[in-house]
Amino acid sequence: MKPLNETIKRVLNDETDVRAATAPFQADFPYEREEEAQVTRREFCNFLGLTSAALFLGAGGFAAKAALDARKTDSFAAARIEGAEALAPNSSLNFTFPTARDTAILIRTADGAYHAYGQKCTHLSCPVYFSRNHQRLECPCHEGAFDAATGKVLYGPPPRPLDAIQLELRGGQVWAIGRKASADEQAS
Amino acid sequence: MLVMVNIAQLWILAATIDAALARHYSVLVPLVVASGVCFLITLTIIKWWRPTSRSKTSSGYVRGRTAD
Repeated sequence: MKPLNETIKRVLNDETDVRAATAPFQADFPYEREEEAQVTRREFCNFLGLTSAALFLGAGGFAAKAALDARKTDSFAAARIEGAEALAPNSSLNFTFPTARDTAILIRTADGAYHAYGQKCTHLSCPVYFSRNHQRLECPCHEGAFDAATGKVLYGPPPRPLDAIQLELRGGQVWAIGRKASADEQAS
Repeated sequence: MLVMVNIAQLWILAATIDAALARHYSVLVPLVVASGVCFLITLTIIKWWRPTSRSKTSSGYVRGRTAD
């Protein structure tokens, strides 16, 4: 119990010990340590200035990265879509391209044409599904919809079209040869 | 005032991220310029603002002025 009491006493007297250890000239300018811990108005303004600089740099950084990404052209290895040949008209098939993590959806419309898109909704990345009755891709999360033939937004919160996957028919087989993130809705 | 400018900049940053993710490139430059203007306003305030108490008392007396 005695060591505990000594520790408590030492902690409580810590301020006194610190003051005793400070330079002698400070005796002429006594001040309260609590006041020293306070942030002055000027310091607060400087902090806000730094915050402003950080926010400006952040906005510039995001814009620069977006601009760089827009110029970058990705090259993908072509991949055959398994089972696409047997896909009946007015139905869909899920696959991945270009990596196993990039989910995509292949649609065969009623006229027999193939269309493929990234499956992530451009709003909040929910997986879209093909609605046969409405001939469109629908997002169940926030009721967004995309045109099955073009991938463009029909309605709802998605800000841009689905990622388009370029297809190629090679000897009756369907191959995915490229994937392109859709650009600005207004610009396209 | 500085806090208000910071809040505006925070809003602009959120809009910039939103526009970048949505690939609305046309609005990115105006947003960055707006953020830069806010930063300049902040710098101007910090640079030129001084507490009135440094040179004047609350009664208007100017410190350091010699009697004519």
